[in-house]
Amino acid sequence: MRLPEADPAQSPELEAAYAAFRDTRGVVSNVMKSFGHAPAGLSAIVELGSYCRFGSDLTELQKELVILITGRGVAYAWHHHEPLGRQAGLTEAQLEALCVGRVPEGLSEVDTAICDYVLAYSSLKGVPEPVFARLTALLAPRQITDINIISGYYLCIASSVIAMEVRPDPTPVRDAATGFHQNAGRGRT
Amino acid sequence: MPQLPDALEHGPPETREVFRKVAASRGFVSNLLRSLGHAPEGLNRFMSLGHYARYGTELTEMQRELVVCIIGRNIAYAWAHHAPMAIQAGLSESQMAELKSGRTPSGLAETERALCDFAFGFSTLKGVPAEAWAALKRHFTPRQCTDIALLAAYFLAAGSLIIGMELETEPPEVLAQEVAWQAKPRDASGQVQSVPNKAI
Repeated sequence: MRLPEADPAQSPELEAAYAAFRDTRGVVSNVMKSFGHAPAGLSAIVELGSYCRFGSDLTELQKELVILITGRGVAYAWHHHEPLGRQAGLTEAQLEALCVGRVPEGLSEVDTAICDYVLAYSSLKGVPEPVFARLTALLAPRQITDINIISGYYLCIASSVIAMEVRPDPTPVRDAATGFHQNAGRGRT
Repeated sequence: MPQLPDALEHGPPETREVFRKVAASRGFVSNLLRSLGHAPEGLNRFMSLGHYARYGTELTEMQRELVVCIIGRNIAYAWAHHAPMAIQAGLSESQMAELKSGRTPSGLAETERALCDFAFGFSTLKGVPAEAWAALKRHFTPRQCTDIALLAAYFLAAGSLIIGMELETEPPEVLAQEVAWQAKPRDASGQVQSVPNKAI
Protein backbone atom coordinates (compact mmCIF):
# COMPACT_ATOMS: atom_id res chain seq x y z
CA MET A 1 0.00 0.00 0.00
CA ARG A 2 1.26 3.46 -0.88
CA LEU A 3 0.38 5.13 2.42
CA PRO A 4 1.39 4.05 5.94
CA GLU A 5 -1.39 2.19 7.75
CA ALA A 6 -3.51 4.43 9.98
CA ASP A 7 -3.59 3.45 13.64
CA PRO A 8 -7.13 3.12 15.06
CA ALA A 9 -5.69 3.40 18.59
CA GLN A 10 -4.88 7.02 17.75
CA SER A 11 -8.33 7.90 16.44
CA PRO A 12 -11.67 7.04 18.10
CA GLU A 13 -13.42 8.02 14.87
CA LEU A 14 -11.35 5.49 12.91
CA GLU A 15 -11.89 2.79 15.53
CA ALA A 16 -15.65 3.38 15.25
CA ALA A 17 -15.49 3.11 11.45
CA TYR A 18 -13.50 -0.13 11.69
CA ALA A 19 -15.99 -1.50 14.23
CA ALA A 20 -18.90 -0.74 11.91
CA PHE A 21 -17.16 -2.53 9.08
CA ARG A 22 -16.22 -5.49 11.26
CA ASP A 23 -19.85 -5.75 12.36
CA THR A 24 -21.05 -6.29 8.79
CA ARG A 25 -18.06 -8.14 7.29
CA GLY A 26 -16.34 -9.93 10.17
CA VAL A 27 -12.88 -8.51 9.39
CA VAL A 28 -11.35 -5.17 8.41
CA SER A 29 -9.99 -5.74 4.92
CA ASN A 30 -6.93 -4.07 3.45
CA VAL A 31 -9.04 -1.96 1.10
CA MET A 32 -10.93 -0.44 4.02
CA LYS A 33 -7.65 0.14 5.86
CA SER A 34 -6.47 2.06 2.80
CA PHE A 35 -9.09 4.74 3.58
CA GLY A 36 -8.12 4.82 7.26
CA HIS A 37 -6.56 8.29 7.22
CA ALA A 38 -9.97 9.79 6.36
CA PRO A 39 -12.32 8.16 8.92
CA ALA A 40 -15.44 10.12 7.95
CA GLY A 41 -14.88 9.24 4.30
CA LEU A 42 -14.29 5.63 5.28
CA SER A 43 -17.57 5.60 7.24
CA ALA A 44 -19.44 6.83 4.15
CA ILE A 45 -17.78 4.08 2.08
CA VAL A 46 -18.71 1.47 4.69
CA GLU A 47 -22.35 2.61 4.72
CA LEU A 48 -22.65 2.44 0.94
CA GLY A 49 -20.85 -0.91 0.82
CA SER A 50 -23.19 -2.36 3.44
CA TYR A 51 -26.15 -1.36 1.30
CA CYS A 52 -24.58 -3.02 -1.73
CA ARG A 53 -23.91 -6.22 0.18
CA PHE A 54 -27.05 -6.50 2.25
CA GLY A 55 -29.65 -3.89 1.28
CA SER A 56 -30.33 -4.36 -2.42
CA ASP A 57 -33.24 -6.15 -4.03
CA LEU A 58 -30.99 -8.61 -5.88
CA THR A 59 -30.20 -12.25 -5.16
CA GLU A 60 -26.78 -13.29 -3.86
CA LEU A 61 -25.95 -14.67 -7.28
CA GLN A 62 -27.02 -11.48 -9.06
CA LYS A 63 -24.96 -9.30 -6.71
CA GLU A 64 -21.86 -11.40 -7.22
CA LEU A 65 -22.33 -11.36 -10.99
CA VAL A 66 -22.36 -7.55 -10.89
CA ILE A 67 -19.32 -7.40 -8.62
CA LEU A 68 -17.26 -10.01 -10.47
CA ILE A 69 -17.90 -8.40 -13.85
CA THR A 70 -17.11 -4.90 -12.56
CA GLY A 71 -14.02 -6.09 -10.71
CA ARG A 72 -12.64 -8.52 -13.29
CA GLY A 73 -9.01 -7.76 -14.01
CA VAL A 74 -8.49 -6.42 -10.49
CA ALA A 75 -6.72 -9.14 -8.49
CA TYR A 76 -7.96 -7.81 -5.16
CA ALA A 77 -11.61 -7.89 -6.22
CA TRP A 78 -11.32 -11.32 -7.74
CA HIS A 79 -9.46 -12.73 -4.72
CA HIS A 80 -12.33 -11.64 -2.45
CA HIS A 81 -15.36 -12.26 -4.66
CA GLU A 82 -14.53 -15.42 -6.59
CA PRO A 83 -15.27 -17.51 -3.45
CA LEU A 84 -18.48 -15.56 -2.85
CA GLY A 85 -19.51 -16.19 -6.46
CA ARG A 86 -18.83 -19.88 -6.00
CA GLN A 87 -20.77 -19.81 -2.74
CA ALA A 88 -23.69 -18.18 -4.58
CA GLY A 89 -23.80 -21.05 -7.09
CA LEU A 90 -21.41 -20.24 -9.93
CA THR A 91 -19.42 -23.13 -11.41
CA GLU A 92 -15.71 -23.02 -12.22
CA ALA A 93 -16.50 -22.74 -15.93
CA GLN A 94 -18.88 -19.84 -15.28
CA LEU A 95 -16.27 -18.06 -13.16
CA GLU A 96 -13.68 -18.51 -15.90
CA ALA A 97 -16.06 -16.97 -18.42
CA LEU A 98 -16.68 -13.96 -16.16
CA CYS A 99 -12.95 -13.54 -15.58
CA VAL A 100 -12.33 -13.03 -19.31
CA GLY A 101 -15.37 -10.81 -19.82
CA ARG A 102 -17.81 -13.29 -21.34
CA VAL A 103 -21.37 -14.04 -20.27
CA PRO A 104 -21.33 -17.51 -18.71
CA GLU A 105 -23.41 -20.29 -20.23
CA GLY A 106 -26.13 -21.93 -18.17
CA LEU A 107 -27.47 -18.86 -16.41
CA SER A 108 -31.17 -17.99 -16.30
CA GLU A 109 -32.55 -15.46 -18.78
CA VAL A 110 -32.63 -12.68 -16.19
CA ASP A 111 -29.10 -13.36 -14.93
CA THR A 112 -27.83 -13.46 -18.50
CA ALA A 113 -29.47 -10.08 -19.12
CA ILE A 114 -27.75 -8.71 -15.99
CA CYS A 115 -24.36 -9.92 -17.24
CA ASP A 116 -24.87 -8.35 -20.67
CA TYR A 117 -25.86 -5.08 -19.01
CA VAL A 118 -22.99 -4.93 -16.52
CA LEU A 119 -20.41 -5.83 -19.16
CA ALA A 120 -21.60 -2.80 -21.14
CA TYR A 121 -22.14 -0.56 -18.10
CA SER A 122 -18.68 -1.20 -16.64
CA SER A 123 -16.98 -0.60 -20.00
CA LEU A 124 -17.76 3.12 -19.52
CA LYS A 125 -18.72 3.32 -23.20
CA GLY A 126 -22.50 3.25 -22.91
CA VAL A 127 -25.17 0.55 -22.85
CA PRO A 128 -26.70 -0.56 -26.18
CA GLU A 129 -30.44 0.07 -26.34
CA PRO A 130 -31.40 -3.61 -26.84
CA VAL A 131 -29.39 -4.59 -23.76
CA PHE A 132 -31.18 -2.00 -21.63
CA ALA A 133 -34.58 -2.89 -23.12
CA ARG A 134 -34.08 -6.54 -22.23
CA LEU A 135 -33.12 -5.63 -18.69
CA THR A 136 -36.18 -3.43 -18.18
CA ALA A 137 -38.40 -6.25 -19.45
CA LEU A 138 -37.05 -8.60 -16.79
CA LEU A 139 -36.29 -6.46 -13.73
CA ALA A 140 -38.00 -3.75 -11.70
CA PRO A 141 -36.62 -0.17 -11.73
CA ARG A 142 -35.48 -0.70 -8.13
CA GLN A 143 -33.37 -3.71 -9.16
CA ILE A 144 -31.82 -1.91 -12.14
CA THR A 145 -30.97 1.00 -9.86
CA ASP A 146 -29.40 -1.43 -7.39
CA ILE A 147 -27.25 -2.86 -10.19
CA ASN A 148 -26.06 0.65 -11.08
CA ILE A 149 -25.26 1.44 -7.45
CA ILE A 150 -23.38 -1.82 -6.89
CA SER A 151 -21.39 -1.59 -10.11
CA GLY A 152 -20.56 2.06 -9.38
CA TYR A 153 -19.50 1.27 -5.83
CA TYR A 154 -17.21 -1.54 -6.92
CA LEU A 155 -15.71 0.64 -9.66
CA CYS A 156 -15.04 3.19 -6.91
CA ILE A 157 -13.35 0.55 -4.77
CA ALA A 158 -11.44 -1.08 -7.66
CA SER A 159 -10.05 2.22 -8.91
CA SER A 160 -8.81 3.05 -5.44
CA VAL A 161 -7.29 -0.42 -5.01
CA ILE A 162 -5.34 0.11 -8.24
CA ALA A 163 -4.13 3.61 -7.39
CA MET A 164 -3.32 2.86 -3.73
CA GLU A 165 -1.74 -0.49 -4.66
CA VAL A 166 -3.74 -2.33 -2.01
CA ARG A 167 -2.54 -5.89 -1.53
CA PRO A 168 -5.08 -8.73 -1.37
CA ASP A 169 -5.74 -9.86 2.18
CA PRO A 170 -4.10 -13.11 3.31
CA THR A 171 -6.23 -16.14 2.40
CA PRO A 172 -7.25 -16.89 6.02
CA VAL A 173 -8.57 -13.32 6.37
CA ARG A 174 -10.39 -13.61 3.05
CA ASP A 175 -11.86 -16.96 4.07
CA ALA A 176 -13.02 -15.55 7.39
CA ALA A 177 -14.84 -12.77 5.52
CA THR A 178 -16.42 -15.32 3.13
CA GLY A 179 -17.59 -17.47 6.04
CA PHE A 180 -18.95 -14.47 7.89
CA HIS A 181 -20.91 -13.41 4.83
CA GLN A 182 -22.50 -16.84 4.58
CA ASN A 183 -23.30 -17.26 8.23
CA ALA A 184 -23.81 -13.95 9.91
CA GLY A 185 -23.62 -10.97 7.59
CA ARG A 186 -26.98 -11.11 5.87
CA GLY A 187 -29.72 -8.82 6.99
CA ARG A 188 -27.24 -6.23 8.23
CA THR A 189 -27.36 -2.87 6.56
CA MET B 1 -31.86 6.30 -24.32
CA PRO B 2 -31.84 4.18 -21.13
CA GLN B 3 -34.52 5.65 -18.92
CA LEU B 4 -36.42 4.50 -15.88
CA PRO B 5 -39.88 5.79 -14.93
CA ASP B 6 -39.91 8.96 -12.82
CA ALA B 7 -39.05 7.82 -9.30
CA LEU B 8 -41.15 10.45 -7.51
CA GLU B 9 -44.22 9.37 -9.42
CA HIS B 10 -43.60 5.63 -9.65
CA GLY B 11 -41.07 4.91 -6.90
CA PRO B 12 -41.54 4.18 -3.20
CA PRO B 13 -42.77 6.91 -0.82
CA GLU B 14 -39.35 7.12 0.86
CA THR B 15 -37.90 8.62 -2.32
CA ARG B 16 -39.43 12.04 -1.61
CA GLU B 17 -37.76 12.27 1.80
CA VAL B 18 -34.36 11.27 0.41
CA PHE B 19 -34.72 13.83 -2.38
CA ARG B 20 -35.26 16.44 0.35
CA LYS B 21 -31.97 15.35 1.94
CA VAL B 22 -30.25 15.58 -1.43
CA ALA B 23 -31.59 19.12 -1.93
CA ALA B 24 -30.38 20.08 1.57
CA SER B 25 -26.87 18.91 0.62
CA ARG B 26 -26.59 20.07 -2.99
CA GLY B 27 -29.28 22.76 -3.32
CA PHE B 28 -31.26 20.73 -5.85
CA VAL B 29 -31.68 17.14 -7.07
CA SER B 30 -29.46 16.61 -10.08
CA ASN B 31 -30.36 14.20 -12.86
CA LEU B 32 -27.46 12.08 -11.60
CA LEU B 33 -28.91 11.56 -8.12
CA ARG B 34 -32.50 11.57 -9.39
CA SER B 35 -31.60 8.52 -11.50
CA LEU B 36 -31.12 6.52 -8.27
CA GLY B 37 -34.56 7.43 -6.89
CA HIS B 38 -36.03 3.95 -7.21
CA ALA B 39 -33.62 2.72 -4.50
CA PRO B 40 -33.99 5.47 -1.88
CA GLU B 41 -31.74 3.94 0.76
CA GLY B 42 -29.05 3.25 -1.83
CA LEU B 43 -29.40 6.84 -3.06
CA ASN B 44 -29.17 8.10 0.53
CA ARG B 45 -25.85 6.35 1.05
CA PHE B 46 -24.45 7.21 -2.38
CA MET B 47 -25.41 10.84 -1.78
CA SER B 48 -23.75 10.78 1.66
CA LEU B 49 -20.46 9.62 0.16
CA GLY B 50 -20.76 12.43 -2.38
CA HIS B 51 -21.49 14.91 0.42
CA TYR B 52 -18.22 13.89 2.06
CA ALA B 53 -16.38 14.23 -1.26
CA ARG B 54 -17.80 17.71 -1.78
CA TYR B 55 -17.77 19.16 1.71
CA GLY B 56 -15.88 16.87 4.06
CA THR B 57 -12.36 16.60 2.71
CA GLU B 58 -9.26 18.51 3.75
CA LEU B 59 -8.75 19.92 0.26
CA THR B 60 -9.27 23.43 -1.05
CA GLU B 61 -12.08 24.21 -3.49
CA MET B 62 -9.57 24.44 -6.31
CA GLN B 63 -7.87 21.17 -5.42
CA ARG B 64 -11.20 19.38 -5.26
CA GLU B 65 -12.40 20.73 -8.58
CA LEU B 66 -9.10 19.87 -10.25
CA VAL B 67 -9.57 16.23 -9.27
CA VAL B 68 -13.24 16.17 -10.31
CA CYS B 69 -12.60 17.84 -13.66
CA ILE B 70 -9.68 15.53 -14.46
CA ILE B 71 -11.79 12.45 -13.73
CA GLY B 72 -14.78 13.84 -15.63
CA ARG B 73 -12.97 15.60 -18.45
CA ASN B 74 -14.43 13.38 -21.19
CA ILE B 75 -17.96 13.27 -19.78
CA ALA B 76 -20.06 16.20 -21.02
CA TYR B 77 -22.43 16.08 -18.02
CA ALA B 78 -19.59 16.17 -15.49
CA TRP B 79 -17.79 18.94 -17.36
CA ALA B 80 -20.94 21.07 -17.61
CA HIS B 81 -21.41 20.82 -13.83
CA HIS B 82 -17.83 21.15 -12.61
CA ALA B 83 -15.93 23.35 -15.07
CA PRO B 84 -17.84 26.44 -13.83
CA MET B 85 -17.06 25.48 -10.23
CA ALA B 86 -13.38 25.11 -11.11
CA ILE B 87 -13.38 28.56 -12.66
CA GLN B 88 -15.16 29.91 -9.60
CA ALA B 89 -12.37 28.33 -7.54
CA GLY B 90 -9.75 30.28 -9.45
CA LEU B 91 -8.79 28.37 -12.60
CA SER B 92 -8.60 30.25 -15.90
CA GLU B 93 -10.28 29.29 -19.17
CA SER B 94 -6.91 28.39 -20.69
CA GLN B 95 -6.04 26.20 -17.71
CA MET B 96 -9.39 24.44 -18.12
CA ALA B 97 -8.65 23.87 -21.81
CA GLU B 98 -5.32 22.28 -20.93
CA LEU B 99 -6.95 20.13 -18.32
CA LYS B 100 -9.66 18.99 -20.74
CA SER B 101 -7.03 17.96 -23.26
CA GLY B 102 -5.42 15.72 -20.63
CA ARG B 103 -2.52 17.94 -19.53
CA THR B 104 -1.66 19.36 -16.13
CA PRO B 105 -2.40 23.08 -16.54
CA SER B 106 0.51 25.50 -16.68
CA GLY B 107 0.77 28.20 -14.04
CA LEU B 108 -0.33 26.08 -11.11
CA ALA B 109 1.59 25.91 -7.84
CA GLU B 110 3.80 22.86 -7.31
CA THR B 111 1.25 21.40 -4.87
CA GLU B 112 -1.62 21.54 -7.36
CA ARG B 113 0.63 20.21 -10.13
CA ALA B 114 1.40 17.16 -8.01
CA LEU B 115 -2.31 16.68 -7.39
CA CYS B 116 -3.11 16.88 -11.13
CA ASP B 117 -0.35 14.42 -12.07
CA PHE B 118 -1.75 11.98 -9.51
CA ALA B 119 -5.35 12.40 -10.68
CA PHE B 120 -4.40 11.86 -14.32
CA GLY B 121 -2.60 8.67 -13.27
CA PHE B 122 -5.61 7.59 -11.20
CA SER B 123 -7.96 8.11 -14.15
CA THR B 124 -6.09 5.61 -16.34
CA LEU B 125 -7.09 2.72 -14.02
CA LYS B 126 -3.61 1.34 -14.69
CA GLY B 127 -1.84 2.54 -11.59
CA VAL B 128 -0.24 5.81 -10.53
CA PRO B 129 3.47 6.22 -11.47
CA ALA B 130 5.87 6.10 -8.52
CA GLU B 131 7.11 9.65 -9.23
CA ALA B 132 3.55 10.98 -9.09
CA TRP B 133 2.96 9.23 -5.77
CA ALA B 134 6.23 10.56 -4.37
CA ALA B 135 5.36 14.13 -5.38
CA LEU B 136 1.88 13.81 -3.91
CA LYS B 137 3.24 12.62 -0.57
CA ARG B 138 5.72 15.51 -0.48
CA HIS B 139 2.91 18.05 -0.71
CA PHE B 140 -0.06 16.42 1.02
CA THR B 141 -0.70 14.66 4.33
CA PRO B 142 -1.86 11.01 4.35
CA ARG B 143 -5.36 12.32 5.13
CA GLN B 144 -5.31 14.56 2.08
CA CYS B 145 -3.86 11.81 -0.15
CA THR B 146 -6.71 9.55 0.98
CA ASP B 147 -9.24 12.31 0.32
CA ILE B 148 -7.88 12.77 -3.20
CA ALA B 149 -8.14 9.04 -3.95
CA LEU B 150 -11.61 8.82 -2.45
CA LEU B 151 -12.80 11.87 -4.38
CA ALA B 152 -11.45 10.50 -7.66
CA ALA B 153 -13.00 7.10 -6.97
CA TYR B 154 -16.42 8.58 -6.14
CA PHE B 155 -16.50 10.64 -9.31
CA LEU B 156 -15.51 7.61 -11.38
CA ALA B 157 -18.56 5.85 -9.93
CA ALA B 158 -20.69 8.89 -10.73
CA GLY B 159 -19.23 8.92 -14.24
CA SER B 160 -20.20 5.30 -14.79
CA LEU B 161 -23.77 6.19 -13.90
CA ILE B 162 -23.80 9.21 -16.21
CA ILE B 163 -22.50 7.15 -19.14
CA GLY B 164 -24.54 4.03 -18.46
CA MET B 165 -27.83 5.89 -18.06
CA GLU B 166 -27.03 8.56 -20.69
CA LEU B 167 -28.03 11.28 -18.24
CA GLU B 168 -29.03 14.63 -19.71
CA THR B 169 -27.36 17.79 -18.52
CA GLU B 170 -29.66 20.22 -16.71
CA PRO B 171 -30.51 23.63 -18.24
CA PRO B 172 -27.98 26.51 -17.80
CA GLU B 173 -30.07 28.23 -15.12
CA VAL B 174 -29.97 25.11 -12.96
CA LEU B 175 -26.21 24.79 -13.42
CA ALA B 176 -25.82 28.45 -12.44
CA GLN B 177 -27.79 27.85 -9.26
CA GLU B 178 -25.52 24.92 -8.43
CA VAL B 179 -22.40 27.08 -8.81
CA ALA B 180 -23.92 29.71 -6.51
CA TRP B 181 -24.90 27.02 -3.99
CA GLN B 182 -21.36 25.68 -3.95
CA ALA B 183 -20.08 29.09 -2.79
CA LYS B 184 -22.46 29.38 0.18
CA PRO B 185 -21.04 29.26 3.72
CA ARG B 186 -21.55 25.95 5.52
CA ASP B 187 -21.45 24.51 9.01
CA ALA B 188 -18.92 21.91 10.12
CA SER B 189 -20.98 19.09 8.58
CA GLY B 190 -21.02 20.81 5.21
CA GLN B 191 -24.69 21.80 5.39
CA VAL B 192 -25.97 25.16 4.23
CA GLN B 193 -28.20 26.56 6.95
CA SER B 194 -31.11 27.72 4.78
CA VAL B 195 -32.50 24.91 2.66
CA PRO B 196 -34.50 26.12 -0.36
CA ASN B 197 -38.21 25.40 -0.45
CA LYS B 198 -38.04 24.64 -4.11
CA ALA B 199 -39.66 21.68 -5.81
CA ILE B 200 -37.71 18.45 -5.68
